[in-house]
Formats: sequence, structure tokens, C-alpha cells
Amino acid sequence: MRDAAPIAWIAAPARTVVAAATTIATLSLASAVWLVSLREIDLTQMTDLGLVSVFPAATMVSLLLVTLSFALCLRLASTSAPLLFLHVLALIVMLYGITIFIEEVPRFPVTWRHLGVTEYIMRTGDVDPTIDAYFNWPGFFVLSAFVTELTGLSSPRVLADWTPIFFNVLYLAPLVVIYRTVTSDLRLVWLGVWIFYATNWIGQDYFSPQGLMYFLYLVIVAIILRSFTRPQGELTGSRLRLRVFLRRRFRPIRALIRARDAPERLPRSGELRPWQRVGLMAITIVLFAAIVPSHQLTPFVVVLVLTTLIAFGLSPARGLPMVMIVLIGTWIAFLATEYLAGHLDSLTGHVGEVEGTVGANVGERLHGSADHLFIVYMRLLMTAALWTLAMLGAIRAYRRARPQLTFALLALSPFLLLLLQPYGGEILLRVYLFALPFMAFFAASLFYPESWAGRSWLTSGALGLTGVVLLGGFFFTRYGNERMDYFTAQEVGAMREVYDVASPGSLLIAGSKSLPWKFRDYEKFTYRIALPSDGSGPAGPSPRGPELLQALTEQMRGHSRDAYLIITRSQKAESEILGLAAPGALEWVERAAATSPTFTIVYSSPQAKVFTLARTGDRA
Amino acid sequence: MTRHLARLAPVVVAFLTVVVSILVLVDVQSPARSGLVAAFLFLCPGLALVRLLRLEEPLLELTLAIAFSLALAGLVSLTLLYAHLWSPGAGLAILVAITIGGSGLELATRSNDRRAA
Repeated sequence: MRDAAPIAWIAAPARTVVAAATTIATLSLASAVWLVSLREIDLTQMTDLGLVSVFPAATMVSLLLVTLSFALCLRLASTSAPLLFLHVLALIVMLYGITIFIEEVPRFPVTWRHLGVTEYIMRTGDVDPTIDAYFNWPGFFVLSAFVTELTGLSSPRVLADWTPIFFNVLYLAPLVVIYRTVTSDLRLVWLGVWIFYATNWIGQDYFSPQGLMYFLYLVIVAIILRSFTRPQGELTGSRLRLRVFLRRRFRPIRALIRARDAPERLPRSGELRPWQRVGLMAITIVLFAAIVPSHQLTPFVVVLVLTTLIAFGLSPARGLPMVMIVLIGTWIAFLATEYLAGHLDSLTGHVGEVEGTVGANVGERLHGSADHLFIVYMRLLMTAALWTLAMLGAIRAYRRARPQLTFALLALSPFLLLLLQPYGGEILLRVYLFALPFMAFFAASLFYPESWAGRSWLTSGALGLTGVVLLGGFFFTRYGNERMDYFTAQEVGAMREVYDVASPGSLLIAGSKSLPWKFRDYEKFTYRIALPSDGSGPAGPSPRGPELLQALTEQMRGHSRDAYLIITRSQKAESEILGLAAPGALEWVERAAATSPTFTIVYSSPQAKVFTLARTGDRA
Repeated sequence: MTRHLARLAPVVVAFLTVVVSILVLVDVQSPARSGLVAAFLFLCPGLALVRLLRLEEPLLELTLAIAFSLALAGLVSLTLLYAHLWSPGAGLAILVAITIGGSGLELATRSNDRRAA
């Protein structure tokens, strides 16, 4: 026995080295397989199931290898943070960078619109709040123009190309800081991070204000949790009397108060000196001041979560929400008045209408092709799966005397946004996103409810399986609409041609909104869409080709200046996927316009065509 | 290792500040300019000020430095735009001044601490 002890002691580090080497080798192999597999992806074969429909088996195998390697890495006795970091980095590139490698140009029509706002600022050095909402909250676009010009780039498009990876790498540090405010268990921290990235399918991390402001939101939450949460049990006066009264009367309140006083809440704020806390408060205010002019929704979320913590006696920073509200009010009152004047009803008219808000966010998305409906249901299913895992994890942690009231409040308070407005049918997506860091943490708590738990192979197996299921669902939920979300160089080329030939004031009309336009001369043209996807089109059966062409022709003839009709592959895809028109309607319009004497072809390629009305002499 | 990295921070800030100022002043057109200017904008102004807080937590300092740098760059550029003084060069000069000011203050306070010790 005495002879075996030194051997076991020497063997333990050796086993760790072998395990670490194995994970590094597996990760390297997975990365290499992933890179090689990308060459086999043929986007032209994509169905309405999105990117998954063209994934080669090797791509799936690489993700499986990364997941298994990560699960193995979590078992390492020393739980090496650098190794775990490398795994998460690889995951970020594989999940969020895949489209950068396989697509020719940035995806999403709104990306190109944001490029156009940035181009306007670079060109004019000014903003015009009468154009649209972007010019009333221009902070992100001004910063983008600033960075583009200083870095010597010819266009902000280079920034847009790499934004998904850049933003997601940015989110990593504040997530780790946030999780480390409540636990020292590195396995729990990094598993929470992993689950965050495996379930962040919302897709707001493109070249957008909300993508960058989400990073600032995470940092503000990190500062609040790290430095401005109240040490446990610190109640006085009327608040203490109220607590005693409630605890005696109501059992749920008693449980809540017990959760609030749970020993797991680390009283970190006592470690900082007053001048350090003043400095951190100043930084928080500056970060918030940068959010206010950049995005409509994020400032309200910050105020909401902070106020929730204060209301439950978990943060002493009572003055901070007032400062934030003053900043929001000042911006809206003085610099966003143009937008407010014309949209006050849409901003405030749905307050309290939860049923209508949920209907706009869920019910109105339940239409389109069979595969698209599958994607919608997958999103609902994966959302329910994550929230169920989170609930089970929170219960398990609570029963192990490790409740996290602060995190529970941060996970639930974004749901109050449902009381405000539908936010163009996207508020549920934003609720999911703002709650996600804390939902992911609770889901991770299911596997590691305590620092000594979760060391069995059964746990590792369950964890690996859960990871594989989440990643499998990710590619349906995030890239399920890819057939209409991605663009090609030909489609961008068609728009470049339009901008080269069209005179200011011309009408640019498209079949649907899925096309890369508005990236240049944003303010110079009138834009219309024949088949809106937000339900604002005329009621009745889906329009067929002939009536669609007639409506388009009338709009073009009714415009006082030149008019251009743009039909692209992505628009046809959107029309099919969402059922915006009768099957084949846009194809019919394209063929008819190409052979009709009413139209002249301005640009023609297999994936995009541009028409203008033929001049009277030409028609004769 | 963390202490070594913390000691390198002022060196990195000083290097990027000088190099980026020259690159932009001379208007060098190079991919290296893009990377170095981006590194400066996303890191240096915030780091120079955050280090004054002496948080002694490298990850938290780095997180705050990046966020604070982005916020400062955003607010400086926004202020110039609304003041009808749009000039990325002037904005960079302001951020360089902030960086130098923060670094100088840190140097002075740490010298005072060493003398007091």
C-alpha cells in the first residue's frame, strides 16, 4: 500500500497530460475535418430546411468530435481553462463563422440596409432623422463609419463579413465574468458558456446595433453582479419589518427569502474600495450612454433588469435606474423627436396586449411551406427544451441548497417586455436572447449542481448527448431559412447596376424584401415591395403571376420618375418559403417581363434580373 | 503569467498609440493599418482608464477595457457628428489624448505608490 501511493501520485498528473493531449488532438482533428467538409457544401441544392439540407456527413462528424472532446475536457481533474477556451473558440467559428466561408457575400437583407446607413454617414458626415428610425438611433452606424474611415477600408462591408464571429467572441469574456460571480466551479462556468453558444440561434449577431449593444448589456450586467449586488441579509428598517411580516404570512415568500439569503451568493462588492466602485459606476453610465443612441430596445432591458434586482433588495444601486431613464428621456426628447412624432402609436399602442404580442410573434409565423413550418416548430421545440433544462437545473440547484435568485430574476425579468409591444413581431426572440445567459447557466447547473457532483461517466455521457442534440437543433433553428437569407455576388451585382444607372428619385421595386439593396445612396430612391412578409399586404388569396405583374406595372407607371423592377433568386425563395404569392408567381413575372415589350432588361444573370419600363418609342 | 501580461499592458498601449497615430497621420494604405487601428480603437482608450481602478482581475479589466473603448469611440464620433464637426481624424486625436492622459495618470500614481512604499 505504501509502495502504491507514490505510483498513484505520479500517475495522476500523467493521466491528466494524456487526457489533455487527447482533447487537443481531437479538437485539431475536428477542426480539420470541418474545414475540409465545407468544400462539399453546394448552396444551390439547399431546400426549405436550410443549411442542414446540404451538410455533408463530415460537418456533422466534426461537430460531434468537438462536443465529445469538450465533454472529455470537462472531466480533466485540473479543468484547464485554456483548453476549454479553445473548444469554445472552435465552436464559435464552426457555428457562427460557417456562412463566412461558404457564402459569397454577407447574408440578411437588413445587413445591406445597415451598410447603406453607414455609407450615408461616411458620404455626408451627417444624419437625417426624417429618413427612418436608423437615423434617430444612429450610434452604431456612426461608430462603424468612424472605424471604417480610420482603418482605411474602402467600405464597411469588410466589417459586415466578419461580424458574426467578432460579436460572439466579444460575448465570451463578460459571460465568464458573470458566471464567476456565483460559482468558482470552472466546469459549470464553461458548460454554461457552451450551452449559450449552442442555443443562441436568434441571429442578432450580424452587422447590427443590437448585436454590439448586446455585448455592452452583458458587460453592464457583469459590473452590476460583480460590484453592485448587496451582501446577504443586509436589510434594515421598514424593509426588514416587511420581510419579517411576509415571511410569517406566506410560504412562497419564505422560500424566496431563503433563496435570496442562500450562501452561494458571493458578496463580492465588499472587496472593492469606494473609489473603485465610483469608477465602475462611471464606466457603467458611460456604457449605457453609448447604448441609448444606438438601439431602441436594449436601454429598456438594462433598466428593467436593474430595477428588478433593486426591487428584490439584491442591488443597492437605487439611483442608477433614474440616471438611465434621464439619459433615455433626453435622447428621445431632443434627438429622436422626428421618429417619435410619426410612430408614437406603434410604440405605445400595444402596452398590456400580451395576447396580441404573442400572436404577432408566434401565430403569425405559422405559415409557409411544409419544411418552413417544420423550422418554425423546431424553434419552438428547442426554446421549450432549453427552458425546460433551465427549470430542471434551477430546481436541482435549489434542492442542493445552491439557489440563484439573482440569476433567476435576470432570466425571468426580460419576459416583462411582452407587456410593452410586439416590436415588429420579434419581441419574443429578444426576450429569449436577453434571458439566454441565465437560462444557459441553469441548464448547465442540471449537470453540475455542486462542485463535487457530476464526475461520473454517466453525467459526461448525458452531457455529451445533450450537447449533440442542442447542436443538431441549432442548425435547423439558426440556418433553417438560409435559402432566402443568403445572397450571391450576382444578386449584389444586379443592385450595383441599378445604382449605377438609376437617377435620384427613381422607384426601386422588388418582389419581396429578401434582396441585398439600400447599401448605397440610401436616401436617393423610393423603395417598394410587392409582397411584404409582415402581413401588411392586401388581404385575400395569394396573388398569382398575372395580377402581380399588373400591380407592379401600375406602380411603376404611376411613379413620376424612372422605375426599376428587381427580381432575384432570394426573393423567389422567400416567396415560396413563406407562401407570399401563388407558387411560381415571381418566376412567371420574370419570364413575362423578359419577353414583354412593356419592359426593357437592364441587367440579366441566372440569379437576378432588373427591368425598367420601355420608353414609348421602344414599345412601338 | 497574469502578472507578466499585466506589466505588458502599458507597453502594448504605448506601442499601438504611437504606431496608429503615425499610420493615420501619414495615411498609410495597408492591411496592417486596418488591424492595428482596430486594435487601438477596441482596446487602448478603455484599458488606459480601466487600469486606474487597479481591479487586479485581468479578465474583468480586459472586458471592461474593450467595452469602454467601444463606448468612448462611439460617443466621441457621435458628438463630432451632431456638432457638425465630422472628422474621424479629430476623433482619433481625442481618443489618443484620452489614452495618453489615462496612461500618464497611471504612471504618476504608481510612481507615487513606489515612493510611498
